[in-house]
Amino acid sequence: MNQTKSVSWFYFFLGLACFLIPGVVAVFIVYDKGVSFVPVFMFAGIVIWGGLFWVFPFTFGRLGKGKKKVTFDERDQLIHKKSVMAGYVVLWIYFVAACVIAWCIVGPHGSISVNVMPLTLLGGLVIFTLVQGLASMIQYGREPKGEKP
Amino acid sequence: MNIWQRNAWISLLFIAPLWLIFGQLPILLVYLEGPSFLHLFSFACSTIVGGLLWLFLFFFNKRRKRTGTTEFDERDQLILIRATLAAYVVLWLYFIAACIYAWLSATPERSISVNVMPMVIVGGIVVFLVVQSIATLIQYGRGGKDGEK
Repeated sequence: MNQTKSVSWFYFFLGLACFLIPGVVAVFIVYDKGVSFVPVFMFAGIVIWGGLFWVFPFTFGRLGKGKKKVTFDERDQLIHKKSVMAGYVVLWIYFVAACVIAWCIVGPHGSISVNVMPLTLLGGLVIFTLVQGLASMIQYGREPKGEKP
Repeated sequence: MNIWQRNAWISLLFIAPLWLIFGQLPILLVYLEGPSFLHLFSFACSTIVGGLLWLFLFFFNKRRKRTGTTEFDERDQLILIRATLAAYVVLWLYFIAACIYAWLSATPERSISVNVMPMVIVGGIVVFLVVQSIATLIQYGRGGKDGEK
């Protein structure tokens, strides 16, 4: 298992819990105590960090290029890009589906709780993370690249 | 100016503004006439196609590659992928901003009209198209590819 694959497993399980639980807690705090700076800032930080976490491998890959041992090569980069794009495609379909379902349930003259939007966003983050992790694993396949088990 | 730069200009100057105007039409129709299968289906299809239009390029390119008439080489592909990823980053930030704005500006009952959600989706398509076109134009630079004038 190479580093990118292990990072994708790590991201798949731990990352999900790290983003999902504090995000739901932030929404709950706003629901319970009203809008204040801290939970809104916490929520914004979590969704920005969680949604753009995929940018870091490119940054770290560039930083590590000067070193002798390259752990994030062109193939990893391509796989990572493809899985991010797959994640975004599914995320987009999820947003459209969430919107149409809300429209159907409530009706065009109805209203929804304002907390539905951040929860939809958190759901999108979970789906994006899942699809990205799955796409990485599928692309790497069962066998590690050129490595002996 | 090559064909992809021209497409980016067309998308920036015509398609994005047209989406901004006509994308709201199904929302208005559903609001005025009530939700019907046709309206919801047309909205879902148009938003899915609008958000995933860039995928068609890869499919057409694969078909053209077989016939040997491709104008979409590896460099164009790389530019498209980078522009799409940049657009998705901004789209994600736009969704977060829309969500937090709704949180902060909600009525005392803490509810918003359900029509806000499709409006945010349509706005997302416009943001995506604008950023993708700008990122494409920036990456091609002033000259065309291979020193074309």
